[in-house]
Amino acid sequence: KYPMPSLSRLSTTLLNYCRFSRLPWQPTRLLCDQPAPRLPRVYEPEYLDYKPDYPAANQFNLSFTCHEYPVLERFVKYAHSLLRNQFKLGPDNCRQVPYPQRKTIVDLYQPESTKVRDTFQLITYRRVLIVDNLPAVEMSLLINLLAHNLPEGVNLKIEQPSEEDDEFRFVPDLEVQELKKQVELGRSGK
Amino acid sequence: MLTASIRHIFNYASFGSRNFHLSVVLPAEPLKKKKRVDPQVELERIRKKTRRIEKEIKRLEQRGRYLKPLDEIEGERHFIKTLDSRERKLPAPSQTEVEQRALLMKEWTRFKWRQLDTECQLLANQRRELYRAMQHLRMLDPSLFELASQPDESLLGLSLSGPLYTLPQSADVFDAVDGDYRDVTPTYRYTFEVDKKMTFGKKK
Repeated sequence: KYPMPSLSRLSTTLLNYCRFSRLPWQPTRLLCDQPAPRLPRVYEPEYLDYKPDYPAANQFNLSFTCHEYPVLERFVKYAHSLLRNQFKLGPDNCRQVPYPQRKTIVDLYQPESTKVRDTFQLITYRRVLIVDNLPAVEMSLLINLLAHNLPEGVNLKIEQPSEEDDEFRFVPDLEVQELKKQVELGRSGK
Repeated sequence: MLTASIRHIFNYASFGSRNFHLSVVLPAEPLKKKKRVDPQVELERIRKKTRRIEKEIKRLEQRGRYLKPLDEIEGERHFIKTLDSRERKLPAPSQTEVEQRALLMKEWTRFKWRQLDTECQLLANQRRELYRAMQHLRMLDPSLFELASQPDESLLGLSLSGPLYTLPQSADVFDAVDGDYRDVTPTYRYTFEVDKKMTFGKKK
C-alpha cells in the first residue's frame, strides 16, 4: 500500500544514520545485499552449494629409503596414517608398496693402494607410498610436514610412478621374454 | 662299410700307379636336391608359428607374476634357526615393576597423544588458512586462482634427507678412505627350457 522508498534513498538514510550516531561508522549492508535466508534443501537446487573444485595432483610416489629397517618401517607407518587420517585419502588413494632390498658390498682400500683392508655389506630398504587424488594445493603442506619429520638416515624422494621401477619387485619372467624375442624374430623376417 | 668296399677295390685291382686315393669327399653322400619352397606357404607357416607363440605368451602371462621375497618381513633363516639359543629366560617382573611399567606406558601414551594432537591442530590451521587465501584469490583474480590451484611440477623429482647425527668433520679428524662399491642385489635368474616348436632357431 505504501510506496517503497527507492533504494538510493534507503541507502543514504542508513548511511546518515551511521554517520550521525554514536556508533563507529561501519559500512552497513543493504537488505538486498544480504544472502537469501537458507531454505530447506528440498526446495533448493544443489548447484548453489557447489564449491570451486581444486584439481588433484597427478598420481605420485613417495619413495622412502633407509639402511635401517625398523626406523624406516616406523616412519612409513606414520606417513601412511597421516595421509589416511589428516589428508583424508582412502585406501584406494594411498597405498603402501614394499620393494625388495638392494645389497651393496663396500670395500675399503689401504691408503695409496688397492689392497682391501675392510669389507662390509650395506643394505638399502625401500618403501613407496602411492598417492592419488590429493588436491594439488595441499601437496606443499604434505611435503613440508614430511620433510620436517624425517628421521636420521631416511631419504625421501618424490617421483612419478614408472613401469621399469615397478618391474624390480617381480621375479623376471624369462620364458615370456624369450618367447617375445622369438615373436620379434618371426615378424622381422626369418 | 662303403670305405671298406672301396679299399677292397684298391687292394685287389691293379690301380696302384693310378694314385687312386681316398679322401673325405669320396664316401660322402651325393647332395640332396633343394626343395622349392612356395613363399606363400612359408609365410603362412611363420604366421601360424607366431600365433602359437603369442598364445603361449598369453597363457604364461595369465598365471601371474611372482613377487620377489622380502627378507626384512620373512626373516633371515639363520636367525630363525638359532632363535632358541639366543632367547633369554628372565624371571617374571615383580608387582611394583609391573605397576611402574603400566604408569610409564600411560605417561608415554599421554605424551604421544599430545604430540599428535598438536600436529593435527597445526595442520588443520595451515589448511584452513590455505583455503581461505585461495578463496580470496578467487575473488580478486579468477585466472590467478586457476594457476595457483594447478599441480606444481617442480615438486616432482625432489629429494629430501633426514638430519645427520653428527656435524661434518674436518679433514684432519675424518679419514677419507678410498674404496669401491659392488652391487650384489640378487637378480633371480633361473634356468628354463623353451619348447623347440616355439622357436625360430636353425635346425640342427
